[in-house]
Amino acid sequence: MLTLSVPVEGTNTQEEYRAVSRSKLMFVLGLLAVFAALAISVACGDDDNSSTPAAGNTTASGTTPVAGTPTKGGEITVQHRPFRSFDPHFTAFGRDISQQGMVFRGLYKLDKEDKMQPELAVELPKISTDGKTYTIKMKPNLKWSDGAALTAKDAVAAFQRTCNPVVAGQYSANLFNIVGCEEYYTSAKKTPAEQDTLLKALGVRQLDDTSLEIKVKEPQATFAIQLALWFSWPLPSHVVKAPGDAWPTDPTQLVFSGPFKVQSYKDKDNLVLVRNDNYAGPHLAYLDKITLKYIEDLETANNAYRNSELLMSRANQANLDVLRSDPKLGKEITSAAKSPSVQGLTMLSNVKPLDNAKLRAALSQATDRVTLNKVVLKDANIPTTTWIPGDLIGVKSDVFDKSIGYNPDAAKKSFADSGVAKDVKLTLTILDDAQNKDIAAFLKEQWNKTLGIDLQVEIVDSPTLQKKYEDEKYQIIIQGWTQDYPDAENWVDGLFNTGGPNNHYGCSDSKLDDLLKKAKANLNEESRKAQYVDINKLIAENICGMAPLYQQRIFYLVNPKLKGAADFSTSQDRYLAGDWAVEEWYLAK
Amino acid sequence: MTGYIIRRLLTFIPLLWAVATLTFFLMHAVPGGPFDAGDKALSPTTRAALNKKYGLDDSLPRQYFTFLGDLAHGDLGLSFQRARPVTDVLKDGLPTTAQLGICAFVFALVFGLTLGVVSAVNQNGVIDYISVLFATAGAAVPNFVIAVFLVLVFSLKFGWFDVIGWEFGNPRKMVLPSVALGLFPAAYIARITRASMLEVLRQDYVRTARAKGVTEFRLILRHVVRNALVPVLTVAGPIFATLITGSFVIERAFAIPGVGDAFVNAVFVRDYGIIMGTTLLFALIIAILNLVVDVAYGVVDPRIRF
Repeated sequence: MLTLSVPVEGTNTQEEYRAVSRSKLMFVLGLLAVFAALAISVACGDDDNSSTPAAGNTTASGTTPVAGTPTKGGEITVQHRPFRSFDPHFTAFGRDISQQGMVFRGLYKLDKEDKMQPELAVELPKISTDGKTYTIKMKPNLKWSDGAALTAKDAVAAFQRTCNPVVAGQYSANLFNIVGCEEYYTSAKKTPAEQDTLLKALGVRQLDDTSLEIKVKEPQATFAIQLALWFSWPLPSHVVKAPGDAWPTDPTQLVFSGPFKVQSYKDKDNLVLVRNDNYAGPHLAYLDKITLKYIEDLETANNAYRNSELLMSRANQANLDVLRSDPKLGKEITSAAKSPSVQGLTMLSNVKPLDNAKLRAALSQATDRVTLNKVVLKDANIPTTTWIPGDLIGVKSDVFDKSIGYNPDAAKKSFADSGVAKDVKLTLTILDDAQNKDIAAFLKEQWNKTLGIDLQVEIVDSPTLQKKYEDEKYQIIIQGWTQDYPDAENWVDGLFNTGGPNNHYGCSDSKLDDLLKKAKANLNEESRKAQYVDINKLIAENICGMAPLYQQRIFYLVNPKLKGAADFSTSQDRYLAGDWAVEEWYLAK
Repeated sequence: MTGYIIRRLLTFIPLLWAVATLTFFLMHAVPGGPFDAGDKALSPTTRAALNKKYGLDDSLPRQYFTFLGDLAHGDLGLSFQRARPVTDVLKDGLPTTAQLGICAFVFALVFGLTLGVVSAVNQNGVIDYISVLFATAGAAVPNFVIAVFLVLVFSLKFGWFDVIGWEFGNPRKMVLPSVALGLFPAAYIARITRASMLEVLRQDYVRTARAKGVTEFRLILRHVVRNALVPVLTVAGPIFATLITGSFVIERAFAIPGVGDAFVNAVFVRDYGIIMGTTLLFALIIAILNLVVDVAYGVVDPRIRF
């Protein structure tokens, strides 16, 4: 930032200086002013008046599209955010997985109803009677986008890569049930020879060109779903020669198995995708081309959408009320029916004073979730007291309202029963953004009014908050979970087990541990679901580190010309509406 | 002068070392690391694997000396958040940032100078008041507010310009970001120019020239403006350095893929490689421009000797 200082100005009259040529001088200076206004185009550009066609001006090819009937052709531009890694076996970011899912596909995919369907495989995996061996048959004559054969070798290489210690995949733990995967992944400090032995011991092998076999340590009801997720997508082993090799940083150097392939890429600016004619899904993509325009700031993206430069964008939820009240945008704003994310009051429940369950209950009961959502969160979300989303286990979002929902009288009683001093010091640590500050102000006021607690608020940035959370050096934070796959297991396993890798709120309950272990190995869907209902109840009613507040919904602006995106918007959306089924997007007239 | 320039260039080495050292230890002193800005917390196993992969399990002094060793070979390391070499990220972003900065600088210079001159020759007139009002407002209003205002009026209302992107040679994409970025320095230059012009207009040689019958137009352009430019030159160097090193706000407001946005974002996500790379790059640019300005003084004012 420049520091400005202004020299002392003269005070003499200027009349003596103004003489005969003043009008001429003004004329010339006027011209200079015009020149200044045109300075950019004159000095910096060729002023050819060329402009990029607006995204709405699609260049549809082929037959005239009819609304409601998928028709081939057309180019669109949509908002996205720059990916951080294009390596599906490494990444953990929704924005990355969203873009990778447009160009890579796996043996299986989850359909609109979250049911597993074969994609590169012929059929669902055959599971041995002991539940420990999966045999997968792939479609014949599969090809990568460059025409090279996509075989079982590529599928096996994917698992070798995700379990590889050098790759250090961030979702590798999801495959730790594969024989030898965890041992191989944690072998970074071993010698290359030892690592090679561990790689050979990995329980994944190619049977022939189109078949592979996976051996797991324990039966796991949700193991098959892992085969549909990004970290299991086949590796183009003719491009990335060895599973531990570096992934090309420029995606144009890659080959693809999904409905689109990368045509061009400009770092931080855009990624251009064109249809992959070798895609082996149920049908080829309808659109000819998708340009992902990278825009970090959602207000900017929404303005570009307004200006017809984009056909789809994430909505800026900070301005949700403005968008909803806009006569045009109000009709074009959409969100998925199911929410994949729950936010809650996370309380470190193994350290005083929050090791007191009554105190945790009092805080939960003193929080008016409905008003919080309506007033502070612009009615964007769904107030909830269940941790596992209701649709996964067949319960309603208000199922625990009576026990931990808003009830000032019950809150006062719980607080009194807790025996905690009235002047107890509690600190809420929040992210440095407007929404979190509003939530903190709301909680501070409510808890003071109901319980007389003077809540301290500590504001930090994202890495500091995460560090505090992982080091368990906080009292209360607002955070939650976004599901990786649509199963109750993903909401609890590792999060609520004693010593679980993602349990950073001190939840420790032997009954819960026992149920979690049983549910994970249970292959009977009915009884498994019932076990998760019980697990959910234990978490909620004991407030085992987590008091759910709301199911977070994501909103999108989708131009009515773009069909298929909003229609396929489910809890599987990674960044954009229906981005996991991009082959279904098409342009209507 | 050559000896002076060489001496100054040699001072860049300890300067950059000091900047690198200070930045390195400061950024590591801040809580959180490059893997603490993800969508989810990492399990200890995953964190250990990542730390091993990127050498973050080494002691801090060892990491520091590794960095210095790599730096000596022109290797700025890897961007943790972008999985690319830092030099590639800078190579991709810097031309765009520099283009935007140069356009903003040209706008600021032309617009600021014009306004300052017009204002001075019309001192205490309506044009002067309007110019002063502009100069004050331009300095007081933050550029993100200006950016939003320009987008609302000229993109969304009139449809003259695009909201997003940067394309060199395409006025639809260049004008608004350049104006939004250049308005603040334009206001500054206008105020400096006006003050300097008023000072020069009172000089004896101006009165003498006028007495000799030199026309007002010729007098202003040839004698007054020329001499009033010296203070503007003094501030032009720092302004130029500020503009071409990027603006987080403007690059983000118009979705321009420059290094200004990358730098600030890197701080938020603890992308050590980008923080080091951009800090060193900016330090180098500012050092070079300061040298250029110092040398230019000698050219403009022969009394200055090196």
